[in-house]
Amino acid sequence: MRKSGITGICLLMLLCSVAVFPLTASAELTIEITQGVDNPTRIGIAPITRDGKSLPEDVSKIVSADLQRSGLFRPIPRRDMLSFPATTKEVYYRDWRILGAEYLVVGKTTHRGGIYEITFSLLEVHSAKVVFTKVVKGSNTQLRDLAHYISDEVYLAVTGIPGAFSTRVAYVTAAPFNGKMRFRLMVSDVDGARERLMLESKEPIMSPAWSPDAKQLAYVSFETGRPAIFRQDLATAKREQLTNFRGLNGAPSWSPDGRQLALVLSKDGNPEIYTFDLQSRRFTRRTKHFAIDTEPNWTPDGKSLIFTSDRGGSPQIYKLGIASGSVERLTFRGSYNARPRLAKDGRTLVMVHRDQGRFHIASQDLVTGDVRVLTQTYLDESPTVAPNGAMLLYATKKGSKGVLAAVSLDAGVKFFLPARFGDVREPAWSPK
Amino acid sequence: MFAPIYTAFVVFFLSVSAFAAAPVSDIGDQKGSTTTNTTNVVVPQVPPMPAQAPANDSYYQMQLMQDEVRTLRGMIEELNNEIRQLKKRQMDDYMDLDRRLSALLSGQGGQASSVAKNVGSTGKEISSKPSNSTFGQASSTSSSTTAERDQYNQAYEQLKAGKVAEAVTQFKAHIAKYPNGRYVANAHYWLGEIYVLQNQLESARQSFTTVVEKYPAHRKAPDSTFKLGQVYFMMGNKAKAKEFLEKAAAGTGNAARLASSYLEENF
Repeated sequence: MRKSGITGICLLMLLCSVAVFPLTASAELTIEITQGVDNPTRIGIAPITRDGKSLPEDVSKIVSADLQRSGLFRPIPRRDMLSFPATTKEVYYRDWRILGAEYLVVGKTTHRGGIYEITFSLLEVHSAKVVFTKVVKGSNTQLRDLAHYISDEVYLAVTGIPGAFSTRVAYVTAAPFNGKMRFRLMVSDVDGARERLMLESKEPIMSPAWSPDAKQLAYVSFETGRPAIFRQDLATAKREQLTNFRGLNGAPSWSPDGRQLALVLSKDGNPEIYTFDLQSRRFTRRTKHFAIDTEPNWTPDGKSLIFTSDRGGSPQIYKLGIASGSVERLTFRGSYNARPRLAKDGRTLVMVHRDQGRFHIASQDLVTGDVRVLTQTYLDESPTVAPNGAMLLYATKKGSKGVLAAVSLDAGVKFFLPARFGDVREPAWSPK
Repeated sequence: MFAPIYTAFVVFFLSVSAFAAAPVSDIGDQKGSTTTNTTNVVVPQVPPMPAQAPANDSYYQMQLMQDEVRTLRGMIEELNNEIRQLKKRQMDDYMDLDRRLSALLSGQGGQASSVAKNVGSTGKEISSKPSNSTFGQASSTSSSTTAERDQYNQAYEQLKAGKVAEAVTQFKAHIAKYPNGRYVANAHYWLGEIYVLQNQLESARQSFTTVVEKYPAHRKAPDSTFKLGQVYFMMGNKAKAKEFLEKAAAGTGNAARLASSYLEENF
């Protein structure tokens, strides 16, 4: 009887969530940069138009905002520009030298059969040379994608690091609604635009995690009255409940090959790490310890799990070899290190680190053992690293409000992504 | 984050234990098997307790033990890590030292000639060094330098352990085996110290003189100069004593301080 009740709720929730509301209003997230590098690259991004007519999305403005947010660039404001070249031939380099620009991006658009085609070039102002000219195509709704693509290409050419402007972020918002808390699982572009509601619930939603192909999310929802792990397809919004055990069902993490989930279950007494094979539907218990083992995360080679455990008396981060079952402690600085995430290089560990009673995000080089505290805010949690390893997002408090903040892994660039209302928490940066 | 999960877990644990309140009461007779199921701690099969209270008590005891085990585990992990780091640092330090010493020894050709000018009579021996074994030894296999170091350390350990006779034999053996080795000056110095203790003043004088004359640039040379002054004083040769003590006092460091106070007290 009880079971049927749960399925009933499940169905109800499924019905609700299938109706994915595309928010027509502008993004909930706005960005303010608090710290950039000392000497950012001056870059001019000439307006990209269709024969002088503006596009449905201001592509060059998006590129400009992308590059500015990286902290490594200082785009020249459009009002200062002396000319608006659209092709390399139209560029009068002196105009840009006067403004101190080191690089210049020009581009023009053609529109045929509902498809926009942008031809864009990166130019080096001092040597008056064209670095590259590329063409990118997309429909009306993909103009933002095209803009982010341009940003990625420019970022890569200038810094040598692949850009992460085309990625997305999943996060949970909590805001009061008719006197009750309303939890929402959202996905947006990394610049906060094109926010999409994935799930709305009166009960908490936690721990969103991306599948490696960035097409699905796994998360914990309390909608059935107790925590259960779900996965949801982003394109179809279809959901599936994966666990329904007594006790804790939490902290899902996809294996790099996308075939398994690592998760935490307390069905056998206390929280332990399990892996769940999505094909065979089999659970395998990976840790056996009377202490709490939680927050598993895969190493990029898929051979090990890193997790938090208090088996040594205080929460610390451990590494478990999946084949061997051997457990090795990774963190030794401080009496609290938790919520580990590895950058794609498999070497940079980021975590929540308690330093003088405050919770900060710290990174640790697993080869040299060097620990570096990256944030000055406090009550920082849930770090998540960009796929290019240059930045991380985390949740923190600003005033009494939960906000997302970003910091570069060299701690040089910092910015907030404050929500306009409610609390934002548990960010997860998409893997691509 | 860990804390919320922890609290969530506590909440669940409480609700679960409330749920399981009934089964717990009859755990008394089959306690051993139940506890081994839920955890991996091997709990010895205890004979059934006569009363109800001790069952709770042993549960409490187990909690305490688990806490204790966790604390101990944490300490072991930290100590292991510290040992690993110390080992690494020791290796790094040694490699660094070894590199610097090798560089010093192989660069001695230029240094030795300037030393030879200062020292005069003993200059010949020193300047002959690079041409024979020292240079070769330093740049040859590291195993020979390790053996050399090991032998010196062994002798030094004997001395520290108070085995003076053995130490003398080994220091002498070391000097014989590595006449141009990097620890020879140290060996001479310690021999000198031992001879002073044994009141063999002439032998002590010879050892310290060797250090002072043959290795004027060595770290032990200022100490030896001071000691040589002391030895001369004990031998009754005040003029010589004063000469060396003043020379030592003119320098810097510990030896200079000791020498000046010795001079003040005795002259």
